[in-house]
Amino acid sequence: MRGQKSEVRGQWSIAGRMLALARRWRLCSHCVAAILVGLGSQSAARGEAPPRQDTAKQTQSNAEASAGDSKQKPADEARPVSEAREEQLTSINLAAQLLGNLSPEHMKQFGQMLEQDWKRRPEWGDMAVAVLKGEAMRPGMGWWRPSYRRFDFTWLRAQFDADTDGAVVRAELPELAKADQLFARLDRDLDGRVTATDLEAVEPAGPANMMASYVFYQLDKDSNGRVTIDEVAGFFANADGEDLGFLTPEDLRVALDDPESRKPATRAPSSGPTPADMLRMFLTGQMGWLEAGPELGDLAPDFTLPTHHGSSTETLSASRGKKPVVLIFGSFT
Amino acid sequence: MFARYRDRVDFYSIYIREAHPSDGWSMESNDKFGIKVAQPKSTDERTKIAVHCCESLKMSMPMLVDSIDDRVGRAYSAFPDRLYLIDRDGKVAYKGGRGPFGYRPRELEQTLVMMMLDEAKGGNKVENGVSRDDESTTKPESPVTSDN
Repeated sequence: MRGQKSEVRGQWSIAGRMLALARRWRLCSHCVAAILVGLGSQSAARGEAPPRQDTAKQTQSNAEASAGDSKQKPADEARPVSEAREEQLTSINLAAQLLGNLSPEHMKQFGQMLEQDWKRRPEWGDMAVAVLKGEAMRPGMGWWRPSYRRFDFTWLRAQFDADTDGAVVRAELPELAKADQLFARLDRDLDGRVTATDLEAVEPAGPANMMASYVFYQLDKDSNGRVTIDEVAGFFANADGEDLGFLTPEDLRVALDDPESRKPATRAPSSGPTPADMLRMFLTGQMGWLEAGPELGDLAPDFTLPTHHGSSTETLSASRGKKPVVLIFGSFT
Repeated sequence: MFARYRDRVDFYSIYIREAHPSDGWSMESNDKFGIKVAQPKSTDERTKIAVHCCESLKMSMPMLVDSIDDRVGRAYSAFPDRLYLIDRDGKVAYKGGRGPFGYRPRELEQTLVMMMLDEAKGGNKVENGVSRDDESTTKPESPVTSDN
């Protein structure tokens, strides 16, 4: 019974938080109603709905408490991170549980309602809508958008297409890009002319591209994204089992064969995450953080971080005025 | 890429939260390579994993480790992986899409090459991500956040 009570309290604190968020993002009343109906129907289904009047009052006071949160930020920051995170996780898990228990059909309707009513939504709002609507994970879904670039083909053509024929050829470029290696970066299909398709995100089609990825994967034994002369030598020695000093097409065929690809998957093929799983993963940040990150042209947020050896630190702004910086975020997994 | 441009550009790889920890959204492709990492609970733990990662992948690029509160990763909304190119003035010139679908190193490299071309050409003074004398670049190809 006690557990039930705290769960109910949890629900209304979520509702409060959502209201606060709704205010911050200027959600319309429809949208807020939809969220509350979503949460309310859930607790009603369990026979836990608090009496109506109390509900409104409680929601209101909770919303005020949450809205006040932003003003109390310093105090909030003073709290141990783990405690704040714990609380946040509890609310998120509850929200995920509540929304996740809706039938796929209801989730979809909820998503559609959000989409309709929440016009000026942030990037994560697009993702929330897509997840609720049960869209499959793929490029272009929700917040998986193309990149933002200052330099694109329109720019390149405006700068360098001297004869305005819609393509940029080597002779039209400054000296530095005439080198084969650099020019090939731009001219992805290697036809000697840089056109719009060369700067599109799609991989160039054709057997050379497929073969290159396959052979690369076979040669790159330590899978570090670089093929070294040792790896090529090792491959050669292995393929030339009889030590004849040369390879025949048959030797190559055998050497390039990948027995792994014929092995059955070690896990049962899953049918992919359910909409409820997706929602939980989204809310718990397993698909990305809700923050949007700096926009194109913004001053990049400065940071100082230790190197992995812990021997020194690097500061982003130290490069300012000196060199451009490439930031590569990621993890082992 | 690092080896090719390191003289002209500073490269930092930043080690953030595990995308597919063994105690989270685990992946078969990780199992296959014997990579089994639980989500670290402290900055020290994360640093140890980063060192292990650096060694197994023989990475030569400077690697920085985000603190366990994910301060920098969040500021750049960089989970699970993401690429940025920052220009000489400290402004964002390329903001890659969110990983895994938006992770396109070749696109970043193209942007980098074009940035070098821009500088070679006499480097238009670039302000707010838009070169001053070229109207056409005021509209980046990429979509704008949802309208209306």
